[in-house]
Amino acid sequence: MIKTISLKLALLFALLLPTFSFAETEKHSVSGYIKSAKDGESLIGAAVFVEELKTGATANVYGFYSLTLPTGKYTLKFVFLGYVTKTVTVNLEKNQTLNIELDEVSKDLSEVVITGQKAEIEANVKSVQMSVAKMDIKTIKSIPPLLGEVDLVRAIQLLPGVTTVGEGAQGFNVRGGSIDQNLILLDEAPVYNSSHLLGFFSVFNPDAVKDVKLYKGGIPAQFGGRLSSILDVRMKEGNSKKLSVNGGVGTIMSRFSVEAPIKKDKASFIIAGRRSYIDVLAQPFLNSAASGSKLYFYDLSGKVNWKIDDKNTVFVSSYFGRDVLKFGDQFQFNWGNKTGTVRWNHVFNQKLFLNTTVYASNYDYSIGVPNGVQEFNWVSNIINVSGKTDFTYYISPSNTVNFGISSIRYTFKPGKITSGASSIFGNQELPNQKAYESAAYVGDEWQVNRRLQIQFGLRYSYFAYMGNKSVVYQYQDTAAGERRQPVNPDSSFLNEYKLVQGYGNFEPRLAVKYELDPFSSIKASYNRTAQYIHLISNTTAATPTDVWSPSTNNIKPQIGDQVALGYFRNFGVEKDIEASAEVFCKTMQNQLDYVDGAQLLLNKNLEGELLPGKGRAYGLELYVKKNTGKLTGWISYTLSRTERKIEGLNNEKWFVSKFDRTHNFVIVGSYDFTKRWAFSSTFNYGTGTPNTFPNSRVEWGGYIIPYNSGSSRNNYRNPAYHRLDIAATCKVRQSKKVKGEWVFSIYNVYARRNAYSVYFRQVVDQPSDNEYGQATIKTEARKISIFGSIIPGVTYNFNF
Amino acid sequence: MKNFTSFFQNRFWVLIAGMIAFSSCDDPIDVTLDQGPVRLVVDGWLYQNLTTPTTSPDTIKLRYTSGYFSNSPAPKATNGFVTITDNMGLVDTLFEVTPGNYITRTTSREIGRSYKLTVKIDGETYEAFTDMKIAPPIDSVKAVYMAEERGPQGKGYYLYYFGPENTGPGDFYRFKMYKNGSFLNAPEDLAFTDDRFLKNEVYIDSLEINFKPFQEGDTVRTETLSISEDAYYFLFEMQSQINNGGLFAQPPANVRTNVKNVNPKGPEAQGYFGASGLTWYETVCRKP
Repeated sequence: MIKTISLKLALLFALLLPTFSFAETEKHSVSGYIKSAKDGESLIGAAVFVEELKTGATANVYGFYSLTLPTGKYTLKFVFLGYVTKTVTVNLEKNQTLNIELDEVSKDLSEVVITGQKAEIEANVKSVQMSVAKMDIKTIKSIPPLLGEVDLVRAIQLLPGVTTVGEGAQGFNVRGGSIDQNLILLDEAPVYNSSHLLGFFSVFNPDAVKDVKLYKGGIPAQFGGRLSSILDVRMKEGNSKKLSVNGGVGTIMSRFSVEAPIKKDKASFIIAGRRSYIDVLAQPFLNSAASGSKLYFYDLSGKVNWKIDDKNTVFVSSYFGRDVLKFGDQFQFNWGNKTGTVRWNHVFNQKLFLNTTVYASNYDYSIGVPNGVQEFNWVSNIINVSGKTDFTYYISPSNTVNFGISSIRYTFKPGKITSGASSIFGNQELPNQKAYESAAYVGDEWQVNRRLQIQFGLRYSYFAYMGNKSVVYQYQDTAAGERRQPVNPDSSFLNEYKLVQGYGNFEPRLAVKYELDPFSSIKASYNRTAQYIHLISNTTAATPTDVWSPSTNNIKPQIGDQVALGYFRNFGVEKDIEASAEVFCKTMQNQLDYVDGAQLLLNKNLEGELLPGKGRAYGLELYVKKNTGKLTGWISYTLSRTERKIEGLNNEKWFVSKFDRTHNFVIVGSYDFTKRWAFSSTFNYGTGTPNTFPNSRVEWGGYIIPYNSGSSRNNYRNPAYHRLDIAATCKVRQSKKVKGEWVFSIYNVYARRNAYSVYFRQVVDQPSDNEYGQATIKTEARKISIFGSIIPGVTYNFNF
Repeated sequence: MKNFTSFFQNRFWVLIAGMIAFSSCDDPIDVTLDQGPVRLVVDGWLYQNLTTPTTSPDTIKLRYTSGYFSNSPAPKATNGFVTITDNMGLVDTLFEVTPGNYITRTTSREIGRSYKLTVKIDGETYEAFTDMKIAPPIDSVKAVYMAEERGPQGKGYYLYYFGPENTGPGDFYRFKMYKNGSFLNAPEDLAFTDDRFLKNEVYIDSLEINFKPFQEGDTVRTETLSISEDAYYFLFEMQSQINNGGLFAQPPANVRTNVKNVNPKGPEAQGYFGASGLTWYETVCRKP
């Protein structure tokens, strides 16, 4: 059936494309970049309206817009949230470039603000995109922080359809997908581990981030490679007008960033860094065996942009972050991401925009014992190098075509152990695995008439698993749920990387919007996504030591299909309250689970430990957001279910997955009390995550083993999760130039001990000599809470 | 000599939880559980002491499952007919010495043989198979006193193991310690490993084997037991289920058993039947 859909889409393209180009005469284009007059940052998503034609365009992620109109005189209005609207009259007789700078609104110009906000709010109804959440850094910063530190991923977790297995857990789950199904892009380079300090903070320094967009569904054809979502994080470009310094000193970390023009309005840079210092504060309390212990993270982000001329802009950005944990000289562990991106924006003519990106990304960890008989050092990496080219062709204000190609080269280094001469451990290495992922896509956004808009596209992706210069095995079929043994060794791949297995997938994408009236619309979308790499993890929360595996001859790619339907409406006297209701249904193929007692690390027969199965998720998401006025914020409610069916588990029946939360309710509010004081609060309620509880005890060898006679999985739920946070921000003016603010926050105001997990064990400190079964061994259920009390925090932020 | 994975599970979370200034906590809670049907539990192990051959019989315990919070000794499965047959055809019929405890009549086993346990009880017949492998000798276990600031878990005696490992890969071991005659059998004392990451023919030279220090005058017996690969996985799965807390807990799952009902439609059994070659060494914690 999918084959026929793709065929039809291909046909549709063939029919539509020629019609796009028929009326070239009599029309001219106006295009350019829309930027902030204050710091020269490009304004992503700024809108241009043509008063006479009641039509318009939106700036892309580089701030570029293009409008093609019949010859004539037009009034163009440039609009962006928080900026003063600019009106420009153009006499369009030939193609022309028009770069625009918008001024930031000061508080008393509230009249003008409305227009900008209106445009933003209207997008809720008017944009064809659904299942998308956009968050600017101002919103993220208005959410009560943890220990005084705002965080992007914690903010994302407050959106409808997004859950987590528990606070402090790495990553997030979107519409019932696992954490490895989110493509996290930092300036277009993927980040493999988005967490610092396990999961308490994300790797993104809020001072260096400009804009965040999360696609939960209706994913446009230009994105691919993950099943459930795209988190598109854009770094600031750096102030191209004047030197600017931002920083913050907080309870657990400090931040510092500098941005400045290299050549005014032409080239600028930003460099931002952070470091945490819990270990420094803890040092006096450690005994000497633990002295020299370290627990910290740091990260550095930098970006340079250079506008060569009106047609060419180059960006170079880089991220480097690391977490370090060291316990005396007994144990060390560190991990981190590095990414580097070079991008070139080229405007061929007023209608054709090109972005070419080359990036490299590396995630690695190292774990070990620094010396002694147990000395070892274990490293693992995933490296990828990629190039991609994306074209945008602005045919007319009502029709824009995107197309492009991309290719990624993956190198997986699953694990290597090196050890010293006096160590009992040997040197060991699993061979590197290589793979290529390539894709080509074409997408079109077409305003069919005043009410109907369609975005459709087709992506074709191909994954080539090139093997690991080792013997290739197949795995024997065995009883469902049991470890499979390697068979049929094939030595023909022993000496070179050559194609072991290729997978190709057509990924159709479709989104439709129909406006019922100026304040409401209905939208529908379908997308198929394919994912070729898999995070191998069988613990409740993913750990930094989990390895990524490519799809191989034994591991099939994950395929996801999602359908969503939504109603969007703006309310209020000023129509400044946006609301939406969406339902979604998603199926997922080749979801991995693991045999009991699976050995996932440094196992050359890892594939035999995996149990592939099916997944499904469905739900309802309600969202109301108030954007203007003194009180802003949102309320979101999600009713959803996500399940897995794995052969050999739960008696072959569907079971809820570990991050399923039936109800998820969030209120975020922030109130600008005076010019100096602002308050904010967040309340969060979620159904407890599923858990497997025993119904019997097995006494063996003096131990009590929990036993579930029905072999059912996730048959109970942990207690519900709820939490209230509050924060107050006080702005202070240190001098004419230096602005500062104090942020006071309380996380978990009523000190609820939310269950992170519930587990069963023998009561400790019982007489242990019970091998002959005479003693009574007591058992208990226990609850782990990551935060057992209120967590206050204070941070001082400054900028000049 | 803990294997890497348990190394993470045990040490890693403890370290992080201990060092992070966050107030994480671990409280008992009330949970109401269903009670499952009663199943037979086999708890049996054959030992061949290679250091000092002994004449004491081995005990196979037959019990039943009970409610998880029943908090009383497991109900005993009595009046069973229990035999152990080796691959040379030697049959040993066990004797129920006390209710639910069945002792062997033969006290000498052969390294390299495989053993089959047959239990006939409650109208059902259950079988379990295992192998007995050689255990490497322990050359010595030395006690070294460490003052508070040097011992990882405070002051006291730390024990260091010296001895060879079996040649070739594919060996699996369990270690047991007895303090003044008492078997240290708390969940955190469970120690076992495989030789997957060890150097080939490595000599274990001064490996610290206790986390909690011993005190002056303690007599500590250390035992090395060879176990089969399947028994290793049994211990591995059991370990991850009997104390499964923390951020990186494994999903709760039933621990494997090698006890099978010969009638596949009959009730399942639980527990494990294993066999080990055993070597030991006794150390007295005393300043030189």
